[in-house]
Amino acid sequence: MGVTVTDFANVRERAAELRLTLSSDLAILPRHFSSATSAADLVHEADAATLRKLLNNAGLDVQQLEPPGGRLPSVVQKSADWISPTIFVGSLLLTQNPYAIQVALNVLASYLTDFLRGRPSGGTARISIVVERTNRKTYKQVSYEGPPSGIKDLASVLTGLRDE
Amino acid sequence: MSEVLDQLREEFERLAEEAQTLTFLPRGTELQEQACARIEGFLGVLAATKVACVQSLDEVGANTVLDLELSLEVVRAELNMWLDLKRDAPEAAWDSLVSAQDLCENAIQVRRQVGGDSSGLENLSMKLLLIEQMVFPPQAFNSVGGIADRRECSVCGGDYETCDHIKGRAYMGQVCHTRLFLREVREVSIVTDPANKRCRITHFSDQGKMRNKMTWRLEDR
Repeated sequence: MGVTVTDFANVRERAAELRLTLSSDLAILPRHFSSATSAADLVHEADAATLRKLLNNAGLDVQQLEPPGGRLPSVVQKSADWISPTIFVGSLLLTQNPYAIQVALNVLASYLTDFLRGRPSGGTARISIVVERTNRKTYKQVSYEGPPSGIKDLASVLTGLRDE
Repeated sequence: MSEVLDQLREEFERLAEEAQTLTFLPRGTELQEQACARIEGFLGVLAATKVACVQSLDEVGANTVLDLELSLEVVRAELNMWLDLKRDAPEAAWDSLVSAQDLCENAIQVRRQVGGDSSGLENLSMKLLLIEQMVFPPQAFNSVGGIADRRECSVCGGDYETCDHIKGRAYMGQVCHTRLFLREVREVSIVTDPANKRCRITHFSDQGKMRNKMTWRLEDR
């Protein structure tokens, strides 16, 4: 349980290498994004589309990373766990509109609270957010594991990483 | 319509309370069967009301009726589980239990969506988990991991990637689910917390026969 911060690959360079269009400062990254050798290795998490719709409905411009003119397949989940798609937060959004980050975290927390409430076997949320730091040279992955109520508190962690 | 819904809610509460009193193994079998029949009858009334709500584009009404339907279906599935056990049909009882758990999960989400108090359903969900752990022997589950090309929305029948519906939410009296179109199966694993508890290992070979993991009987097959 808790928050861990680790280094992450350069998201913009990786997107270009994998020929994926990254046009928004808030995006949903596919599984294997940092290690894939080509776009053929990529798949979206089972609930990537659900997360995108929830964020869009909250008025956020969020993009699901896809190849131009195509669409990545999605994972068929084998366990009952909710596996969060990795969310990318660009430096511009982080510096100019931290309110959007708080909104996104609130949306995620609210959805997971309802989702996990129906599952007595597990009330633990696991989410992953990649932050682009201001200098655009380094990227940090924030991984959270704990109750959904703790998700909204990640805003301060994310903004703290902005120009650390 | 709100008067009709209030009356239905009153009838629902009476029926649910009466039926839940019977959701224990020692209760009279005939009483449990009668409760199932009464629920069945009332579900018909609810279904007709939901159709009327949908026809008048009353989404709140349709989702409220759905909340009542799902909650009663949970209780009916639990009653069926006890009846199955009494009939020495433990595998059917397992399926009834899993149905109750799945329905309860949906019911909690819909109850919260319509602004109701879900604490009773959450307690019921915990009870069902305890029944799984205390009444049934430990199960080993299979689960399929793979890749899907497409997900179809149960509400509009369209592509889930591009439609506006959200999985788990209720729309005009129906819960949004997705239907998967598999491109490939990548693995079949044994897992402890599977996506589908009906996918379980039912038998293993023993003394030249097959041992039923639920009943522990040796079977010829």
